[in-house]
Amino acid sequence: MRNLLHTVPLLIVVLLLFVSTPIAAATTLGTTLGTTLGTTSAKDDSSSETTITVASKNFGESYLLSEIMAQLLELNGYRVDRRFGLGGSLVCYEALASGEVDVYAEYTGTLGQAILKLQGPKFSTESLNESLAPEKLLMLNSFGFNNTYAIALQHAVAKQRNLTKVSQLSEHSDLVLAFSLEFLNREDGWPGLNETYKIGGEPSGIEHGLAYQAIEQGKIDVTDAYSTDGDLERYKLITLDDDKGYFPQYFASPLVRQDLPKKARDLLNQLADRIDDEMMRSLNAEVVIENKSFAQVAQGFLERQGFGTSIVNENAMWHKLFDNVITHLQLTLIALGLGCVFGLLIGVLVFRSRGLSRMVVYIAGLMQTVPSIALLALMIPLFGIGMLPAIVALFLYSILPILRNTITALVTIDPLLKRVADAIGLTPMQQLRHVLLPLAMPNILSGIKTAAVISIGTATLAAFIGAGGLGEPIVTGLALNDTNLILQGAIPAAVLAILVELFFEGLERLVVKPHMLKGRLPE
Amino acid sequence: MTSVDLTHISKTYGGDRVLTDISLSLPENQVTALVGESGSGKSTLLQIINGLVKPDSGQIRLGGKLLDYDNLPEIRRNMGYAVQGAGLFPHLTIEQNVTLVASLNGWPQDQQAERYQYLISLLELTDEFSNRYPHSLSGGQQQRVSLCRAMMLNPSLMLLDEPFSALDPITRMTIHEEFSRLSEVEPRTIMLVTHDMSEAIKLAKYIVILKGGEIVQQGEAEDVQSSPEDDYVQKLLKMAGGFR
Repeated sequence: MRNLLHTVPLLIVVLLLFVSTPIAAATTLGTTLGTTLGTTSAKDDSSSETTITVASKNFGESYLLSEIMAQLLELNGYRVDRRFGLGGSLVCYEALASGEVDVYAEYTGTLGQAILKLQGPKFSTESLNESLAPEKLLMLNSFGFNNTYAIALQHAVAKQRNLTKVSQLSEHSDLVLAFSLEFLNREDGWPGLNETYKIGGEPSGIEHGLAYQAIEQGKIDVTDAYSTDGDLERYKLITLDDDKGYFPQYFASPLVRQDLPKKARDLLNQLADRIDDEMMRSLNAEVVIENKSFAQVAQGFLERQGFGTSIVNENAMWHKLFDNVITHLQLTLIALGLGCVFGLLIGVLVFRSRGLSRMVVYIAGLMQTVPSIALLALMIPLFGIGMLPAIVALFLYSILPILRNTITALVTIDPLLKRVADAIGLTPMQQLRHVLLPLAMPNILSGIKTAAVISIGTATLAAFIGAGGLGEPIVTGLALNDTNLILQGAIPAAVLAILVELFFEGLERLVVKPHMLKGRLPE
Repeated sequence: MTSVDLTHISKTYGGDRVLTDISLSLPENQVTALVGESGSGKSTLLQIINGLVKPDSGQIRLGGKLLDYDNLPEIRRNMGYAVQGAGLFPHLTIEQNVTLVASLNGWPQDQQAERYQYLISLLELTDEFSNRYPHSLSGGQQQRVSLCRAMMLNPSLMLLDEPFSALDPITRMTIHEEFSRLSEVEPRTIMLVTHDMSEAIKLAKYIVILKGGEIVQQGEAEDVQSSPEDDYVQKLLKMAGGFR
């Protein structure tokens, strides 16, 4: 019994570690099973049992198109798993190709140029599908709009000068041009445009978000825009006709896996040619100007188009919040559990050698200097998207504080106590278990606490690679410049961090004797 | 394993000679005091016996057998160890500190409890201390606990590294008396390292005097007292007399 008593602190930590590992295994297994089952059952066509995973990129229009597809599928009896806000086209494509996602909306120009690296600038659905075939992917018919670069100016100015085409710009050299830096420097932006239309002039660079305000205030006259941008309506801008067909085409279409059930594919094809540039612009405007949710705008669209009325659950926010918190905790706990196992293990293995300890802490420190978003991105080629790469990245982050505190704590134990532990005949293993680790426990626990708080913060970035969690509303909120949405992720994340802090304080009180915390050693 | 024989032990630390050609036998079941001032190498010599320090040359025989460095934990369990400052583990209660090694050795609970109760009563500690932590005990009490820990497994050899040095004179005197009683109740081979000649004379049957890493004189306490072999021993004796 006495023997048991002094192993309690250690037991609890070990338990903490190993309890979280089976959870890790179970969750990973669950996710894998879920995906596999989803895809397998996708082949038979009983829609009520099939879950289709719909992804989107992290900007408004992509969210909206994906929400429209998702609601249409739901209206027809499918269950939909939404993986919205993935950090970019490559992440989405990667996820689709690996089968973690079944459908998302892609643009012909992006797919042809950036992903498949084909010779452009114009890509037909047929030619794209030829290249997609080996990947077992399929681009469906386009929604009907072309979201490409456009040249925008104030409605009034255009009317006054009777401007409708880009080719007319060269005759109005007094107009002040200002373009976003990306457009100014992209080969398919200003350089090529000027060569094609011989517009001339010295356009200046301006941040895209500020350009519209600058136009409204009359400080500039012409800027670049996306042809379906909802802000064009807000600022009463019109776009000029690309009469020489210079800009690449970016027709949006559902991009799906070939094993998507035919019924679902047919459903998505019903969306073909339902949305032209103007319609897309006004749908986008509903979100950015009228502050409607994607779900509401999608619902309204589908209703007007005669597809039926989706039920937009007003409680969805709380449900979603709960899901996000659970996912967030899973990400953090699994990564932290692994971090504890490895941090403690490596710490215990190396602490007796000064040189080795330094080296290991140095390497762990190097990992910490990689910016979190970059580390997450680096994980994609190795582990794809979703929870796995996020967990690996978070795990790498959590090692340093645990490792460093473990080594420091073990090294700085009173040498007299180390000598006594040796001299009374404890084996190295017994010294570790009964003397060194219990003495190091307060420090180790505070290392784990630091790692936990860091993980909770960093895990919000995991939404960019489709891991979900509380980063999801933050990413969406950033895409929409919607503070409310950002707070829906940020506040629970902050609360979680505080709760974790309190949890560890409680744990510390439970496993560490108060006099050990004050650092008092016998005289 | 009651006999301890050291032959031609030498040790240097980074070029400094700490021990030079020490040959020494500890008489069985007697207290031998190793006396010397700071830096005389007495602590090092003690740590050479339990393998904490490895000599550069020379041999250590325990019960006639060479010290087996691959089997130190087991050998050390037959060597009680107590140090200045007690070195109790702050995260363990008094009882856990004393019984730790016995419980790891697989002693049954009741045997542990019995031995523990016996030892604390020998050292005039009460059961009231059992569940307390070391920091709440006085220096003298802590040192008594550390002696209990050293004797828990009833070792045939005890190595004591200035266990009484940091205590106040009155406490030291009381513990000295308890210690003498212990040596009678449970006789064993004891090496007591001390810088205090009066303590050595009081507690030890044999005295070994170390100076600058070399043995100056060794023999029965009475002989050392009656016929000091050089000025240094004489000086030590004089100082000891001053305290008596």
